[in-house]
Amino acid sequence: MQCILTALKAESQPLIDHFKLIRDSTYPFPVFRNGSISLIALGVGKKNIHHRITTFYNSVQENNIQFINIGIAGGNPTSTKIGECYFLHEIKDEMSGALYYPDILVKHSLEEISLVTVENVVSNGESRYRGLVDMEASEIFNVCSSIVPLQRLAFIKIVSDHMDLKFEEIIALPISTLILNHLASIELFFIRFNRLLKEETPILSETDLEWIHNTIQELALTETQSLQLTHCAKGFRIRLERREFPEIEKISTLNKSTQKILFRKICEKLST
Amino acid sequence: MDYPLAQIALSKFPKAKFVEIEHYKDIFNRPKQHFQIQKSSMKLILAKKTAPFLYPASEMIQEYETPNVFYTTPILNCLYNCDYCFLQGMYPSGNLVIFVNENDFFKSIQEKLKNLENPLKPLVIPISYNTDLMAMENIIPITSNWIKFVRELDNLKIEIRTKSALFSSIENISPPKNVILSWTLSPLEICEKYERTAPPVHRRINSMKSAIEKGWLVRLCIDPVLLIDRWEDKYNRFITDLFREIDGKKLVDITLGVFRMNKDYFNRIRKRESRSDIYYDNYIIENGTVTPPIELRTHAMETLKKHILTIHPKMRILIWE
Ligand code: SF4
Repeated sequence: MQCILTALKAESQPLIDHFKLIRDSTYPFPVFRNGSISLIALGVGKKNIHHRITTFYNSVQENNIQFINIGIAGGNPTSTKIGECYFLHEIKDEMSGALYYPDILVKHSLEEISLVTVENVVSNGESRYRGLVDMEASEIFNVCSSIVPLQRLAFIKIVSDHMDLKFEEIIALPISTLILNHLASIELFFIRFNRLLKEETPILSETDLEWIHNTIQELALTETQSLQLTHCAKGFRIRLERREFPEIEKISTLNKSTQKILFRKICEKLST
Repeated sequence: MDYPLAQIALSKFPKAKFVEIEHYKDIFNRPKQHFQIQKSSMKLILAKKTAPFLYPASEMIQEYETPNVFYTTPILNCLYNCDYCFLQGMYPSGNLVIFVNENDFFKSIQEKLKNLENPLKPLVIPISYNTDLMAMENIIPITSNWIKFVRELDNLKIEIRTKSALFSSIENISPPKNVILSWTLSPLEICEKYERTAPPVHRRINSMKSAIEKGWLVRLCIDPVLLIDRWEDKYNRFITDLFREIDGKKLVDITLGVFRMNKDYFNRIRKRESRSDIYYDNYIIENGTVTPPIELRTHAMETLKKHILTIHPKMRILIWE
């Protein structure tokens, strides 16, 4: 599953429309979903981030979630262009000084840049910050990296201003249009990023695990034997992706020695 | 970043985006990284190493007949990604770290030479233990710099173990007496299945041949020997074919060893659900090392040793047992 994280409604709307997301009213805050894509609206600043992301994460069945923060940011006038879209490779939390480094693991055509997360809108910071500024990224990294591994985080920012506007002026900007202009590259990134999730698919499927479970029960395997069976099963599955696991011989009287013989036979079958 | 090696590395990637970091461990040692996903999009970390520069060699390394064996780590991680590589279990990250302060490495070796446990025996340093140094030579000339450094040092030998086909990158250097170039070779089936990212074996053999012809001391490593289905046929045929191509008499020696790995690294790789069937075979644990059972490995080593000796009866063979 891919979960988009946004701050402003104007950032969410073009993404909701594009991915045809529908409001899920079971949450007490704005969550939108469609199949394998979801969006959580976090609001401006850090205050709701922990609660909203963890509530969502704990409520979904899926473990394999990628979090993608998409939003606008203020940019240094000499190093950034208004309307340009960037990937973040470094995030600094201004208040704590903590540094975070998102892994950039897919090929992309965007520029990469660093960002500082600040507490208040920066309206005269043109020379103070080398890259971008926003009010959420560091907290998003902090929260998400505590629940999913680093390869599942990505940060995409579009420059809305050169750190010379007040909050009211920023939200009056055509923010949705800024996002809309980059939907094609955002979508391409989603497709490529999603491929990484496949690399994390467990070797054994639910059906495989069920077979292992049944075998353990039927043969009353010890803990060590169960572990060995699981390893043999993984080796089998790697070698033979589609083949079914071997049938377990039915035996009316299972004693210690027949159990051992049966167990050995199964392991042999799995290993050849 | 003023180090010459750093400048060379930077010049090789003019389009790269640079991120300045405080310490390489801030990136490299982070928890929750995915080694294999990072391997498919490796990042280069240029760093300055602090002491120690030399580590006592592990028992996984073959005997060198001297107590003065240490390994060093000019680079952490490898450009290649062999299925059986212990680095996957050793490091939390798949990214590459290059230590650019090579003079500090050299100084520590000069110091070590003054304090050897047995000064009558040479100091031996495998310098390509946690990486494949020669594979990087087109990016960063660490191998040639080391060769130049050790040339004048009498009581020091270095071994540069590689699977690369890049001997051409150092072929203009005249071969010193105290540098051993070791090529790890495996039968084609093994290369295609377990060493997919390393150069094809025929290119490694060509590189090795050129080194022998140019008068370098060359060691052949058939290590790890993987006890796959019909391993006997495959390895014996491979050895026979290999000695048709290279002049075995000109080799310094051959090292042989079965697959073996520190138990903690092995378990970490298993836990990370490696997609290689190597990690789901049956092994035993002996003194903290995961390895095939003793009868199997003794049989394998004896079989291969015998076969080599039928072709080259005087060959010196070092075996990890
Ligand atoms: S070449 Fe050596 S160091 Fe590199 S991945 Fe293969 S086994 Fe590991």
